[in-house]
Amino acid sequence: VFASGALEQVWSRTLAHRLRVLLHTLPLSALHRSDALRDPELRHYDGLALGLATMDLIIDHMGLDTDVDRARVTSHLTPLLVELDRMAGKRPDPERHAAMADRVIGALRNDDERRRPFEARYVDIDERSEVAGGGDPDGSAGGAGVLPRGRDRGRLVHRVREFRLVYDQFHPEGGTVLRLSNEAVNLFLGALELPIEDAQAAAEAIVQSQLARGRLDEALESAHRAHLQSIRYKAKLERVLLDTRRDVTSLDWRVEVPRLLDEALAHVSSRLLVEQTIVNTAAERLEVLDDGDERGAIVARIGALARECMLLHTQLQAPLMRARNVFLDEQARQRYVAPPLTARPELGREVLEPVLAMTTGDALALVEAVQPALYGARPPPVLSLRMLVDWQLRRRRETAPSPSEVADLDLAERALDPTRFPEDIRTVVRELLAGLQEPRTLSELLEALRAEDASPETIDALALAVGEAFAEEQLHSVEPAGSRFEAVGWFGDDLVISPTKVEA
Amino acid sequence: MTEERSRSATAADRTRDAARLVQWGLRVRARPAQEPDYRRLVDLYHDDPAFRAAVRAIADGLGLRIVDVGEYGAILAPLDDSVFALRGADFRPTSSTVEDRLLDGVIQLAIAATVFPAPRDLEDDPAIARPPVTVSEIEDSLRALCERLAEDARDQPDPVAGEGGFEEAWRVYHRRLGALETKDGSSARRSTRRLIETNLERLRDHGGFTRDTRGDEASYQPTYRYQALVRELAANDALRRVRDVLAQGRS
Repeated sequence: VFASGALEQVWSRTLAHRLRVLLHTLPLSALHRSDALRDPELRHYDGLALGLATMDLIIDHMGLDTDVDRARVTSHLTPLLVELDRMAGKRPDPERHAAMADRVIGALRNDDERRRPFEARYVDIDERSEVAGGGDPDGSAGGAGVLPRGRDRGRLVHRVREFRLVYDQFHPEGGTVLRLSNEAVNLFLGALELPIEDAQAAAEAIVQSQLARGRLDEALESAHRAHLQSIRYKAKLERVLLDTRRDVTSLDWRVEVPRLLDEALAHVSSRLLVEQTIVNTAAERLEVLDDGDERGAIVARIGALARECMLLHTQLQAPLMRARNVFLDEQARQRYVAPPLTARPELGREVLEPVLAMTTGDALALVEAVQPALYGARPPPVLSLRMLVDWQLRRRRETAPSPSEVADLDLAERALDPTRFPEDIRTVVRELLAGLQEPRTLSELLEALRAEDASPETIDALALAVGEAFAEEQLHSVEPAGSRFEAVGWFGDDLVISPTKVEA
Repeated sequence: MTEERSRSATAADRTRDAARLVQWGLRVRARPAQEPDYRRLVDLYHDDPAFRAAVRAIADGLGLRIVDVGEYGAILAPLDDSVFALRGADFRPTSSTVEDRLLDGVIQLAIAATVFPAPRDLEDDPAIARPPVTVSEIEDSLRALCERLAEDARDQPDPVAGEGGFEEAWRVYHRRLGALETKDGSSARRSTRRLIETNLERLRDHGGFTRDTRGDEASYQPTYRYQALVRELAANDALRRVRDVLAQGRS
């Protein structure tokens, strides 16, 4: 038995806090370790480097109009993948590159655990006197206590930290895009222990001091960081405002949100002051630089970044002022709505299994009652007699005579029949289509083949393969280009062939 | 007099706008980000309490429940007996055997359970997309469940012949083959795998999923709309109905 307080000398909450931050790197270290465990043809890739390059790409697009999806990650990583291929003496292969990009995204997104947050256990000192175990005092989920009840102040508890690095977020225009969690952004920017506001203040203080001391390259780097922090901060506040609209019960409205809004307004005001100072300092430095001094461009860029930060912060001021009203208003409204059911069902065990065990009569009534909620509301089709008559009385559409000469071809000859085209031609076509890096039109591909002196059979095989892909939409996305073409004996509506089929 | 007329004109404008937001909500593929009018109405819904009240009143009168209004659009669900409700029989107007309708419904529940396997998944951030699902995944979990129920029932007497409606639902699924080979090599229309695919495709038609044909098997990515409908409505609705049936001790 050790003297009371001995444990505190070794392990403190501060240390536990730092440990918690370190946990966020565990998925990256798993990605690094997985290099040796992957399929042989993917083993020569450096998972950690690719992972960081992926995070860099996503962070670089935060707050911009162009969002990052899987295809963009693959094309961004390609130069690095090609170089890694070269070092390992392998031929670059787009399919292998896409597979590796998928692995990297999957590892960062925790695909192995159905994309749930990563979970990491750590030890902490339990400082509460009465209750053992329970939630994490910092508000994060988890905190599985392993102590008996009673007075256990100052004893160790295991806690569980849940966090995400990368996740798929629905895009307002449809489809999903990749996003970084706050933990991942902090990890990436090296601002491990700081809340967003502090990280931003720190970044701007650094810009100001570096700019004043003439360390311009570093100041520009810091200005980039400060700019990212501004974008991140804006995203965080917009999130809070959106959550308020969705459900006030999801937020702590008595203390947390009013405090957050007040702090945010104070923060935005002070940021604007500092950013104005940076803009002024940059202007002063520009004046003392000689014309043609190459440092002028850097200083101008720093000034421009600071102005962009100011713009972001100015844009936040109006919604912040309105937010209190939104909040009070929503609160008044939602108070009268029945509180949401807190217990969420385990659909497999609590719903599906009992339904399967019911008699068919009961089960049918139940599933038919539930189905409308799964489909959502749909307008019933109503027959418009006028539209029907209009449609029936529409003039027959005459097909215009084709400006191109049309030869009557034997259908048996113009189908992608394996007996018609020898294996080598089919391989050429398959590889050509598999190797597509970006969307191309059919006419471009046909012309390219002709430029390579490909045989007429190869050209026919390509045109037919694309036609079949258009009909089936299997491996490639084939869309009408909206224009007509005539090339190498083929004519008609031009088609755009994209490497992989991904639905928006 | 003029003032009164302009007031009633404003009220009429508001009602028309509110009804139009409901109409946008019925166009499941429309996005506020792409339709300036839609976006304006969504913003109005959030910023103007009177407008919001008008939208709710209209939705209520039409037998619609507002599940979510935001950057992903207005998501509406039909109230019981609403003219906007899609029922199992609507999909099979010609060959609506009770068995097929039962399997459709069971498969719909299995799809929801595969998208949200654990209670915590229903509590996650609504804007985060759940992982995509495949036909095989749903078939495998339904098969496993039926196998287990069959195992449990091994010592029970077999169902009485001719008493349709009193055998358990799992027997219907268990009996149906996963894939039937047909002469032309396509999987038969009535196999469970095919039924699962049909149901996913139907949900896709109604804006619930998107399909991704990369890889060996097509995968179906749930949309924000589907996730919102299950999370906010269907999951707890289904649970409540199951408990009602069990409480009555019928099954």
